Amino acid sequence: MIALRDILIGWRSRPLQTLALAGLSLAVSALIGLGLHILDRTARETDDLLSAWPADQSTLLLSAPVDAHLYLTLLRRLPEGEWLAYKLDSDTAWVEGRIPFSLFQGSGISLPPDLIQRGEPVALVTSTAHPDARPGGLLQHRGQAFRILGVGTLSLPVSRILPVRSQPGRQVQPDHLLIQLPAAEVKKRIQDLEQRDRLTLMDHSAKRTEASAGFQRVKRSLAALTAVVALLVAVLLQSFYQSEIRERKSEFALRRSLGARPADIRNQILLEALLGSACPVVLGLGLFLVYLNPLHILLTLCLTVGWILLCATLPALQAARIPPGEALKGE
Amino acid sequence: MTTPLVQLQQVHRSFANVAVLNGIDLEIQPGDRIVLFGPSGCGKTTLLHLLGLLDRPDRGNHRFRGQDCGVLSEQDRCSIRAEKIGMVFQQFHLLPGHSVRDNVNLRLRYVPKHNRRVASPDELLKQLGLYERRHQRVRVLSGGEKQRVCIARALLCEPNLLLADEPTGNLDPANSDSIRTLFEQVADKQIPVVIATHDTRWFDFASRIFRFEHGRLVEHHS
Repeated sequence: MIALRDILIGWRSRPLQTLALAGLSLAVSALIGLGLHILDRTARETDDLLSAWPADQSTLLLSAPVDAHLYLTLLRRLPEGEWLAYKLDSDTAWVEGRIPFSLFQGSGISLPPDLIQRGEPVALVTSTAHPDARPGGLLQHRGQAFRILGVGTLSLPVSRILPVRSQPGRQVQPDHLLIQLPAAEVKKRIQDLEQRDRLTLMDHSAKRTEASAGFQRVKRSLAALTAVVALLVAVLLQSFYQSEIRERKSEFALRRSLGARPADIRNQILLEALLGSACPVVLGLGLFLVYLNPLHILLTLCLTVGWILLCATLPALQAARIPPGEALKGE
Repeated sequence: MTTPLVQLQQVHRSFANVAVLNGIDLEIQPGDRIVLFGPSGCGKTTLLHLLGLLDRPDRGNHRFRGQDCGVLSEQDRCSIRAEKIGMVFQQFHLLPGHSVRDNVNLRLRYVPKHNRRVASPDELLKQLGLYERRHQRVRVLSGGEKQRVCIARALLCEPNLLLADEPTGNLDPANSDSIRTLFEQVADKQIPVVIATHDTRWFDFASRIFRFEHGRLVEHHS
C-alpha cells in the first residue's frame, strides 16, 4: 500500500509525464485493438469466401449463349446427377437445376419466369420427340408429372433435359455452372473445350488458395504494421523512461540513501509502468469491446502491458544501478 | 572500552585515479559531535557517503556496530541505511511535488514494519515547527524549512547515527541558528552527529573537530 501511495503521489507531482505515458499506452492498445478487429473481420470474410468455394467442387463459367453442341458435349462428359447449373441475370428468369435455361437461348425455346418460380417439376421438351407438347402442359416421365416449360427443336432425349426442382435456400450466383466433381477430374474432362468454347473452369482449390493468400497478406501486413508500431513504441518508451530516469536520478539516489535496494528502484519503475499503462490499455481496448472477443481482449492486454514492461525493464535496471553517492554528489 | 559505533581504519577512496581519501582513521562513539572541516572538494562528502554506506572504500576497514561493512551484502547495507543512519543534505534532496508529510514519511518506505522504531511524524513536525505546513508541497517552502523537513526525515526512524553534509550551507544566518539548535537537541539524545562543513561556526557545537589534510583526517584540538 505504501508503494502504491508513493507511486500515486509521484504521478500527481509529474502530471505531464504521467499523462504522456497514459496517452501512449492508450494509443498503442487502441491500435492493437483496431488491428485485431480488422484481422477478425478479414478472417470471417475469408471463411465466408472459402465456404462459397467448396474444396471438393469446381465452377464452370459459361459465356452465354451456350450452343447445343457444347451443352451436349458437357452432358456427355460430365455424368448426370453430379452437377447443378444455374444461369441468371437481372432480366432473365432464374432457375437452379441441372440445366441452365440460358443454354437454350437462341434455340427456339422460351422460358416464362413465373412458371419456373412455382417450384414444381418442370421440363423442356423437343418438338421432334413430342410433337403435341405445348408450353404449360403436363408430361409424364418416370412416374412423375412435369410441367412443360417450353418446346424446342433440339434433338435431345427428354430425360436429359429435365430441369430439377429449385432448391430453397441455396445461394444462386449468376453465370455459374456448379459442377460437383473434383477439380482435377473436371479439368481432365473439359480441358479441350476451354479455349475453343469460351468456357472457363474455376478451380476451387486455386480460389481457396487465392483467398487464403489474401488473408495471409492481410495478416502479414498487420503483423508488419504491428511490428513497426511496437518498435516505434519501444523507441518512444525508451526515450521516455531514459528522460524520466535522468530527471529523477537524484530521487532514486535519495531513495537509495533512505535504504532502498536496487531491486526496490527497479520494481518501482516497473510497477509505475505497469499501473501507468494497464489502465489506459483497458480503456483503449474498451473502444473495441463490442468487436473483439474476450480472448483477443486478454491477448491484447497481456501483449501491450508485457511490451511496455519489457521496454521499461532496461531503464529500470539502469536506474537500479545508479550509484547513490555519485548521483547525490552530482546534484 | 565499549565497541565504537563506527570504526574506520586506513580507508582509501579514489575517483579517476585521484586519491580523495588517503588512509582515514576514525572512531565514532555514541554521543559524539564530530565536525569534519575542510574546503570544498577535500573529501568531506565522500567520507560522509562512506559512513552512510552509500559508497564503498577502495581499501581499508569499515565497521558499523562491530560488523565489517566490507563483507555485508547490498541488502544488509540497505537495511542499515534504512534503520540506523539518518542523512541530511546540503541540497535537501526532497521530492518537490510531495507534501512535507509525504517527504518525511518516505523514510518509512524502505523500513520493514517489524523493524520500525518510529517517532511520531506529527510530533516531529511540531518540534520542528512544520506541523502547520505538513500538507504543503515542499517546493513552496523556504530553504530553512526544507532543511528542517530533511532533518525530520532523517530523525523519523530514530537513527543510531546522524550524518549531515553542509547542513547550513544554503541557509541565511537566522535559519542556520535554528538548524544548529535542532542538531544540539539531537546530540543531547546521545545520537552521534557527524557534520561535514567548511563553516567554522560549527566548531562550538563539536566535541571533536577533524580537519582534512591531503586526504587524511587530523584532529583539531584548539
